[in-house]
Amino acid sequence: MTGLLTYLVKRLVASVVTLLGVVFVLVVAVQFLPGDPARVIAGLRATPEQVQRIREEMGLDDSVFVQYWRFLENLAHGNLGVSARTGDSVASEIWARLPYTLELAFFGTLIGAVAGITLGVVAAIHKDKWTDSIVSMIGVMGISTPVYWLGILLIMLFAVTLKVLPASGASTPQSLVLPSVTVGVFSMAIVARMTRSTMIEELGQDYVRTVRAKGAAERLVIYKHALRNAFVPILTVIGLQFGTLLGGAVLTETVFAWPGIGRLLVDSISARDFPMVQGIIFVFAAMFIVVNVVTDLLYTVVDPRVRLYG
Amino acid sequence: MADLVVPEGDNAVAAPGDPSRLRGLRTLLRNKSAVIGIAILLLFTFLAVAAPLLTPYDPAKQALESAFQRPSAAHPLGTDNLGRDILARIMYGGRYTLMIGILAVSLATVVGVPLGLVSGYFGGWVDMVIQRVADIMLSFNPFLLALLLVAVLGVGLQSVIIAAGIGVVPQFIRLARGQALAVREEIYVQAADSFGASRASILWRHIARNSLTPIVVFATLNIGLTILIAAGLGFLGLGVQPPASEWGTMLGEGREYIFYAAYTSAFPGLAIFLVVLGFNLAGDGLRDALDPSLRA
Repeated sequence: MTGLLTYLVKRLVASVVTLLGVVFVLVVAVQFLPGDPARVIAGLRATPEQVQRIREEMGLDDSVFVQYWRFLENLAHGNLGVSARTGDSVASEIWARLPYTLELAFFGTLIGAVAGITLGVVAAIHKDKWTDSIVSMIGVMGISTPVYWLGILLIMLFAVTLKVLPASGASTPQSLVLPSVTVGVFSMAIVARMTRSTMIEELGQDYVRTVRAKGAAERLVIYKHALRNAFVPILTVIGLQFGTLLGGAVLTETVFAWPGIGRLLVDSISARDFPMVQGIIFVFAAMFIVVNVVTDLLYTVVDPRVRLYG
Repeated sequence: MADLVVPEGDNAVAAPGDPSRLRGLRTLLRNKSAVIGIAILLLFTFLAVAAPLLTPYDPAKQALESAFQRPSAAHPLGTDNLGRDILARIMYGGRYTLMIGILAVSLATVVGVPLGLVSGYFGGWVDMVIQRVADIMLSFNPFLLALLLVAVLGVGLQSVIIAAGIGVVPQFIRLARGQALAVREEIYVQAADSFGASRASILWRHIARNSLTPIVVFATLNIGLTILIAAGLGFLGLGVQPPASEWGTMLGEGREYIFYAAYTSAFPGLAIFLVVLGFNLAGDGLRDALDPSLRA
């Protein structure tokens, strides 16, 4: 177990280093902002003295490294600064709206994974038949569809024409259906492509021939043996896909007026509320990094052959 | 890796008429979906270039008296909230989309490939630094990185191209690094090294040239992605600004009217979908014809 521990520590250190880099980029980005952030916060009617006071309060005259260190210090106390628009705490605003984004990301990933794996397995079993071609077509169409357009088409069909699901908001459980599907389709396409190719590879392996020769039921061969072994690359793709999914969530939340942090990000960019932009992008990056560490750890559960710490 | 098409060293850039190149082209044209993709792209390129000859309408001229007309003979795709012909706007808007996709990917290639090649070929601390930078960029993911850049650079065509291009740079770094690592071990590179060729010359004459095919394939596959990013920025009102008829911007403007004039957002979205599909089908075909090893 010490091996696993070493691996864990190494992986955590690497993640923290990446996260420190993310923070550095976010702090440096402020230096390149057009115009004076203090001016934006103070408003158009502020006197030069008021602007100067805000500059000092925000420490905008300090060097990048001083600002970087201060950002990290605040971060350690769970403080992400103050919104330039509302004057409220960035962290508490994000905290209040994060659950909506997590819900969307979770169900989007679930739909993408379940539908993608199913399609991929079906395609692999019927390799080069018409079902395979249809899955390939779904795959390439899935990665070509703009999420925002898909969301609008779903609203047109299910909310406007059929009137069975709400077009926007997050007030009822039904509200979750269309946004989750919208977010999940891109992942579904990527996962389906990956599952198909790994399953085809696995089904050609010697052990599959052995299991078949022993007279095992085909269902058992596919699900218990081949799919289980194909799971590691599939899991990797789902983890890496999570970043794109979060990007898609930003757009989807805007389409469906979903009250998560993605929509807050877009509103904050338009309002030039940079402290909020910094905070939200930091949270998104942190979520992506955490998900990929967890994915790595799941390998060992799914496939005991994988010894990350070998 | 790329040996199938590109034999070795200095022959990397095959002359026109080279039999292996022709074989690649034949494979590409036998691939039905690749042909469909190329046809879509040719169609939209033609519409964008020949727009002034094909439609009598000005894509920016407002005609409020003819706002929200449903698709008809006069306006095949209807008119928008300001009475502008949607078909004309889509035709002219293709200029933005195609230009953004190609320029953004060119930017990503020019920035990402040299970094990746240097990273893979030299190794050591150079490799470590470049890879950490790529890791940091990857944890933003392409769309969020583009959003951050737009927040800093401001909106507009130029920002969109830079944002969408830089958004996919880390993927190009990774690919080029992998290519350099693979080619570095080839015998002809070892030979050049033992003849005393300089590292710069090896990097350029051998490593870069032999990585060309997979990079071209990868670039094509990424044009669709950058178009989606750019149009997504437009949709949020953070991309190319109105009255320009960039498709994502049109879609964002039309979104307000989905309940009674769905066509104002449905058609621009369809255009984005078709062009991205075109690039993805063509890219898949190109990959299968030139470099099947890239198949994921």
